[in-house]
Amino acid sequence: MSETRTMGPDDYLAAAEYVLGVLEPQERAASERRAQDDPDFAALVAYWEARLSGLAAPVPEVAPSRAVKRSIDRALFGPERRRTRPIFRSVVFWQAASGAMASIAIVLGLLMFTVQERTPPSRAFVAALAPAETDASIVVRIDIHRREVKVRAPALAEWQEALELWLIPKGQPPRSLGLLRPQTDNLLPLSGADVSSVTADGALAISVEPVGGSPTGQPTGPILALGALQQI
Amino acid sequence: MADESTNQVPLQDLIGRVAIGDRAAFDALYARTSGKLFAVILRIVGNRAASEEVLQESYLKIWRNAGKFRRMGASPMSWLIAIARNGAIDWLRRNPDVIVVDDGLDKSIDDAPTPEQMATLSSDVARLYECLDELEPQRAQLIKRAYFTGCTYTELANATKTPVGTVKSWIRRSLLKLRDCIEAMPAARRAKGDAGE
Repeated sequence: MSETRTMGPDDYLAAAEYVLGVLEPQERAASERRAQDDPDFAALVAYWEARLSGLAAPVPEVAPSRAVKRSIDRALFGPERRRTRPIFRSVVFWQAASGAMASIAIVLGLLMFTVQERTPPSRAFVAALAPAETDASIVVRIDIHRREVKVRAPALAEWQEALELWLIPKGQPPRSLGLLRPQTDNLLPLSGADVSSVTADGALAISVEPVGGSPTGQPTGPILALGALQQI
Repeated sequence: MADESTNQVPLQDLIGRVAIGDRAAFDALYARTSGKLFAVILRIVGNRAASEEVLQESYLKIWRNAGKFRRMGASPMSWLIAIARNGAIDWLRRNPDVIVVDDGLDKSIDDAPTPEQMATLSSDVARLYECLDELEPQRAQLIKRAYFTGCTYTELANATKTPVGTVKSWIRRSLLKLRDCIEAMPAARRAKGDAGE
């Protein structure tokens, strides 16, 4: 890494002791100030932080309570941010709000998926999912006849986390439709059990989940995108 | 980039997006990392409610300082962990009367990567454990104990019933040995079986 020319063994040690956390409050405060004022010392601190953070690698994760994220969001973004949490309870709101998106979805869905398909479109549904805070859109088409779910999401091509697609039948808990791969197009099978749950008053959502998908069968991570289903 | 680092790429990108105010990226970063940061904080602070406060402060800092991340050139996880540990240690110093129950701390000290974990660890982390193994077991233990408890030299001396001066010189010598050992193994690639590159 970068050489720290003026730094000697004492400085290495001082940085290491600071990072390890063994200094008394006053010494610690002094090291902290030094790290702010002296880039060479800051580099040594970063060196030790990088090396010693390996100790945390085997530590099993512990989930904090959900209230923590809510208060972080409140502190950073104000109270309106709370809507993202109880999002499933506000599906009705979203359905109304995404009416415009849904008509776009119909057009996009037809353009993208039916043009190259010869099979007469039987019962099919589309949804445009608007990811929070971005203008990228995700279009999902569910073909009941073919029992398949097509997801076109250019924005997800670079996404490296486990993303799960959920069907939210009106008034019922979400049902997982499967995990999305980090690529523009995903094709998921629609299980027979889910067929009857796909209705025009339902919605679709994508959540961020642990690797391998939600451990509980219900969305556990943040909701990335949500949109109403529309029959075509 | 090698396979082992692909895990880091998205975290870096997420932090980059957080730096420009992308809340979705912040949500994703939180979902990905809060479990680890909370575990680290919990070990130092010892009680859940206070740990959650520290975790909250940490993510506020992460949101505000994300722009500084790239400049520091650190790995995303070590940057995040450093923020969490600093918050936890500062909390500990502000609350000197809180007695951290030693229960559970010993457990954390014994944490070592399982063979499966070892296979997924970055070469830097693997190297750290190799070098810890070269220290006398009690010294390695002391370093881990300091790292996971945030105890001062004095507290460590009391806890181990050893004079402060002795604890200090043990830790300092161990740290220098660690550094020398880490620096002496330049690439550690062979351990990962990186034959292609």
